[in-house]
Amino acid sequence: MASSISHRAVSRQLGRHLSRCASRLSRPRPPLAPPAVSAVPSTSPAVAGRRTIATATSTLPHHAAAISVIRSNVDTRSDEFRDNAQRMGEAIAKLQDLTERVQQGGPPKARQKHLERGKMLPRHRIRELIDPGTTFLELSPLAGHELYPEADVPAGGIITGVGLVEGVACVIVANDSTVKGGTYYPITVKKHLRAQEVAEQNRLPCIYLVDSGGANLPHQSDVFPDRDHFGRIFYNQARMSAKGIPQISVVMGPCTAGGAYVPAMSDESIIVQEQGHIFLAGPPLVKAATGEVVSPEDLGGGKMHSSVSGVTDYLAVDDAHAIVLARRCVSNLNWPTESQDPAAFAHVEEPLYPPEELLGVASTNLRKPLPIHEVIARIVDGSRFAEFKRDYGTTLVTGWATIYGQRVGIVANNGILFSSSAVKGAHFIELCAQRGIPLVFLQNISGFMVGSDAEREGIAKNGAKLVTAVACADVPKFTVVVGGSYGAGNYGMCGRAYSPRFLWMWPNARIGVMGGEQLAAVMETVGKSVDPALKERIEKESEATYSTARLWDDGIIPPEQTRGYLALGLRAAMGGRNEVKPGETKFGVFRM
Amino acid sequence: MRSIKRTSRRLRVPSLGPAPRFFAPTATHGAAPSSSSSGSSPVTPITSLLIANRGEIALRIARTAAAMGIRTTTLYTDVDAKAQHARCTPYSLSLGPQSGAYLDGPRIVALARQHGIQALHPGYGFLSENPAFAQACEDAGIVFVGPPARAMADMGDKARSKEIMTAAGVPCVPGYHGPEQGVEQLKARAREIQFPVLLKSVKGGGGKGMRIVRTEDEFEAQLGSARAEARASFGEGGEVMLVEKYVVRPRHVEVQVFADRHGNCVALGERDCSVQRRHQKILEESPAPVLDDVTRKDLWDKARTAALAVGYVGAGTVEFILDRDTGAFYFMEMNTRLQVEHPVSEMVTGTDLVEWQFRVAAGEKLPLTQEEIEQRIAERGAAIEARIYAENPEKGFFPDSGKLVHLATPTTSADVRIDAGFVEGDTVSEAYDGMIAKLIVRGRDRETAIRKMELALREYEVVGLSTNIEFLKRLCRSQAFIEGDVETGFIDKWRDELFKPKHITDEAFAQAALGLLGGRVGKVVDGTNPHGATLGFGEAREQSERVFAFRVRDDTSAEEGEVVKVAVTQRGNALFDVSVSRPGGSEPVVFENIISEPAALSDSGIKTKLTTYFASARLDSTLVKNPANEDHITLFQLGEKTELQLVEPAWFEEALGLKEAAASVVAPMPCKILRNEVKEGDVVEKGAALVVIESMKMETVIRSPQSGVIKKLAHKEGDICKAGTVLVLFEDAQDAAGTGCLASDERYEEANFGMRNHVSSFQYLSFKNFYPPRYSHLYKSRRTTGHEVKSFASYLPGRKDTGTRLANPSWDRGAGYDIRFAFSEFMTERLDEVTVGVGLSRRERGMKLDKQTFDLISLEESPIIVAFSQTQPFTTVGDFA
Repeated sequence: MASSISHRAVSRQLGRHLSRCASRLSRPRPPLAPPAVSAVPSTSPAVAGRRTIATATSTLPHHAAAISVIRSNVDTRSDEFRDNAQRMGEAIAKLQDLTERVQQGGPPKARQKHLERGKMLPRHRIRELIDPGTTFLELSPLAGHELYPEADVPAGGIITGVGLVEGVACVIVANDSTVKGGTYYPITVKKHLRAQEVAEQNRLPCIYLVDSGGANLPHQSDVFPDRDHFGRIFYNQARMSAKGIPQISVVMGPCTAGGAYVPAMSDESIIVQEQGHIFLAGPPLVKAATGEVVSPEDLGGGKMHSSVSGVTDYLAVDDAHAIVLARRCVSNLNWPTESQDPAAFAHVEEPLYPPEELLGVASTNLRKPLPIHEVIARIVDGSRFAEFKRDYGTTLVTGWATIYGQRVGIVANNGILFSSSAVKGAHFIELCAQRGIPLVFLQNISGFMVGSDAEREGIAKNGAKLVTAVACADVPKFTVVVGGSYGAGNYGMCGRAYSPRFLWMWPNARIGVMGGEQLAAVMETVGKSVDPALKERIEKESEATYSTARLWDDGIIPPEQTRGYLALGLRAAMGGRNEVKPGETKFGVFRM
Repeated sequence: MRSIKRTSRRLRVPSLGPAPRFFAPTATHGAAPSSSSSGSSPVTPITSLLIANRGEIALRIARTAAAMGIRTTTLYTDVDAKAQHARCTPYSLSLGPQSGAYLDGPRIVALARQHGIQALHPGYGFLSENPAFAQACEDAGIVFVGPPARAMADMGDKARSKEIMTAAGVPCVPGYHGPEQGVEQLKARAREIQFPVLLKSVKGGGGKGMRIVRTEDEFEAQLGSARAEARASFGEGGEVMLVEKYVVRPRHVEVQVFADRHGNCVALGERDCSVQRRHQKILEESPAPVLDDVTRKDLWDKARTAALAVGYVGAGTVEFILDRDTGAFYFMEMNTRLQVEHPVSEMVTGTDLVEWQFRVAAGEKLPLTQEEIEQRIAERGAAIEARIYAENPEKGFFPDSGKLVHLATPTTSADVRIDAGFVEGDTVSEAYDGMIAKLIVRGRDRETAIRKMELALREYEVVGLSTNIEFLKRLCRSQAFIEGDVETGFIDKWRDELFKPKHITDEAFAQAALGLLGGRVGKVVDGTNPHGATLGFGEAREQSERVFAFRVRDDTSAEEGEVVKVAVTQRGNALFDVSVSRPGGSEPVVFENIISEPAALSDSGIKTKLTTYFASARLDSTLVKNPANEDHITLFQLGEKTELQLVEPAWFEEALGLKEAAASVVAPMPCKILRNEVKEGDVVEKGAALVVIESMKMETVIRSPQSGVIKKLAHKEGDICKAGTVLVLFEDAQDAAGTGCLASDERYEEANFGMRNHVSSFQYLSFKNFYPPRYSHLYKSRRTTGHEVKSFASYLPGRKDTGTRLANPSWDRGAGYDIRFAFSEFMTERLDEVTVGVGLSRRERGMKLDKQTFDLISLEESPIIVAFSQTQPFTTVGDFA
């Protein structure tokens, strides 16, 4: 599926691209070597004729670095920059506001009640659980945003992410019982499963901070029966445990019915006394079923489970105590810690250009081209980028760089994908897979080139080569949507369906099969009458907030923090017990 | 000519055999030169040396000895085996397990002979002023680096020394130093001298066995108590007393003298040692402030006269008491040794007195004439010495001991000198003197020297035990001290100013929190790590805010006991927001976007150094956690020390089983009782063995889950018990309140917290010369709560970590201050003095009781009961210890 693009737009983009190439060529290149003067006067006139070459300093390590530095052309005083920055600022302000509200969790009354019970709020629990001075990589904080007409479910009622605990990167899943009693809406299930997916793919120990009333009953049909519904949580726990990925749960609230299996399926479980309860049926149901009258504490309280049933292994006095116990459990996992990772202590150079300038570089108007070198220059160490096939298939930029010392292969859009760009991309991905280098995709793609020239060139099979390479490359992949993510370009650039380890969107990003305008045009062409609201709806459905609410991504991120997100994602994917072996990938058939 | 002039400036004694002891020169100048003296005795350089001492003075002596190429041997007891002094020389000999073995003269002499050591330096204290020992050295053919035994004996006997001085024309304090020791006879003498008078043991020193009698009425009681104390401290003969005029506003001024074997004697200036606590010096300086030159020179002359009168050789100090009101001075005593404060004189004269000691002992002449010395004094300005003690000034300078967890010292130079016997990691033992170091500073004048001293003290950082460093800093800042308005009662006179509580700044709390965070983060916070920064949208606080609750446990602070909450949010790698909330509901103080760069100083993370850029200024701090209790943290910044304690989380007590005291102990499994380890009525600590059972052929010790009193032992030996059978019953918590361990800090703090700025009423008891089997040390009670004191706990200073406590104390305080308390164990030897009191916020009030005034009901059996009644209200206890 390729999007159709107006010819004018293509030619404008091409023209822009060509002029950029020209300007790059006319730009003075950094000198290859410092001018050297021979200290020994040469005797032979033949040698003297080539003197400067013969006497130049031999190749030194810094020469490679010198030619890799990206020279930025951003003019922060230009109208375009200011305009971009302002629009991006507005988008960010909206997200900031929205996120702050979501971070509060449930309604004030619910929070108040929660605190009065001596419980810590879920975000507070996570703050205390992770190592001080470390950053919690939260997943999809805006999940569930405007998803259910009848209910507001901030963050989907569950907080998930990757955090360092005792130096070990762990996936943390924390129910927010201030949001609808911590019950599982469909999006809650999806978010929980996504966190487990992250844990499984990246071999990260899991810590479940359980405080949930179980499935949200009115939504039971969307929560219970299907493959990727509630039951999958326990399936995942069992499978991960089998793979040696530790499962630890901390019961800090109710844990009823199916939920009871979270601690029961864990390797180690901690429970807070007079607060955490585990039972297959609560006291009301027990009374209804058997007539037995029993208090929650006697039925499934911490003391009972820790001393009688053995369902839990550690009894905690309160949340803080439970967190200390959980941290101690992690320290006994015998898991490699970050401090043992030599990459953590490599000397790291920050980018040469302030990442904040990305706000003025990226445009909310996706018709405007985004100079991708400027983006790369603000993400990678020392703004150094060893570009591969710089002058071939220039609408796809490929090359190597490091992010906080971790070597990565970068595949970034710089215009429409042509056959040459697609083939170049496939070639580059093969190289990275061969070498065990993780891949970073910077997506800003309106699609593959269309038209008879392109089709005759075999854009379909060449595009397929790129898609095959992306799908098969057995190295960790990361995707950042920095602009548009349309059509088959999404596939070739490692969209959600291609299981990147993490996928993030910039506030300006849009995702869809094609732009609303184009979609309307196509509909008209095939003879359907177009609902005037359709275009508007498509536009809305393409927005990043719409995407992130449905977990099509792992979160909308501030552009200037792209480097930080990638770094933490890379740490999660490459550290711990992960092993990325070079040359492991087996590619499918590349149609030639 | 020069040599003639030189000798002419020395005080000369006709060299007719041994120096006549009663010769007093009539004039300082112009004594006839004698050419015969220079060649009278041959010079025998000292080549090997035994230092019969320990600590800083042993190190000090070894330093000079090494510089002079003398092969040096040190001594050590088991406690001192790893002490710095024992390790500073290649040769070091063991004195065995007795900590008092440095006093074992015969053994030391034998060791010196056995190892063929030529000379012996006694340092100060221990055997340094023991004439018998000096004689023993001489008899064994060992050169005693010090005065002749005879001169030592003469000066050591106070009454005799005064006789000699009076005969030589040195003014002495009017008094009676005679053999009439009857109470009435002494009282009559006191009347003659006129009250107030001072009672002193003839063997006395260091304030022991000394009493001030202000009126005739109290004469008898004070005499009795002085005698008891002296007997206890000095043994037989200690009860012989002398009576002296008591100078109300005295200054302690002493002159450093040096004499050689050729009859020369010089004065190396005077030292003012008036600033004292508990009759012990803490600041010494030279020259003495506010002293006219005529008096100064007169002091020097009289000091030299005094030395020559006893045929003195070597380093000595002639102490005078200077009446601030009249300007008159009197001879007090002569210390026949090198003194602790000798570096002050070294600094102002540019000499090495230990070198002089060796040269004089070798038979050489004094290296400098009086004139040369005076020239140097005129050029070199002023010097001051501060003694750094392991003690707590806020608690009546109560001695402390423990491990030097952290020790940072000022940078030394020609003008800043440290004589210390400890390095970081060493333990200051309760077995010996608690002086950690001496800090000596020289400046072009007195004020400069004091300022330099204050700055140097600010660099001094000690964690692990209480020190007087903060107090010394306040002394140096005291206007009265700067003006030279010194007298021995200086500290009492300016008590309010010197103990004025300080205020802890918000920045200090912020630094403590940042340091703790940084210390835990360690290597994570640096530019090479993506961690630390806030990610994503929303509030940074939600992502990284961490709250620290500090309880001020700083005795010197006005905020003691307050709980201050500090919330730290990390925005970036080294970028923080900090908010400090003090109790009382005032708005928190917020520091936004401050850059803080912590760096762990030690691998263990015990120490963190951090530099923080606040909006207005940079602040460098060092944060040290006490490894024995990581909740205790000490912060140093801008030369100030702040002590804080992290408030323990709510779950701590319960999780550690501190809170829930089970009233009984049950058998954990079917078993046979092998034996009961306790008796009914016993007081047990948590963790003590109660019952030993046998099950499955395995012996198991059942330990006490709590501290308390055993009410009942349910089974006897050989009984077979089922699982769950009660084995031991405890007294109810209410009944067991008198068991000494229940007054937790937590509860005390609660009580104190609500009563801030009021009387924080706590009770204390202290015991002097209370000898438990192993530790001869003062005991101090722990603070307890409330007026109705049912219990107290006591611990051995310096052994807080092990929490050794007196068992089974209980005391009741009814109307009319009838006080009775009892305790068992430990008490084996003697109890000479008891201080009982209530503490008003920072003032110690109470009363001291002598042995006469309380009854020891029983010594042999436990519990021992001490009982007394007192109808007088408590008064301020001046030197509560």
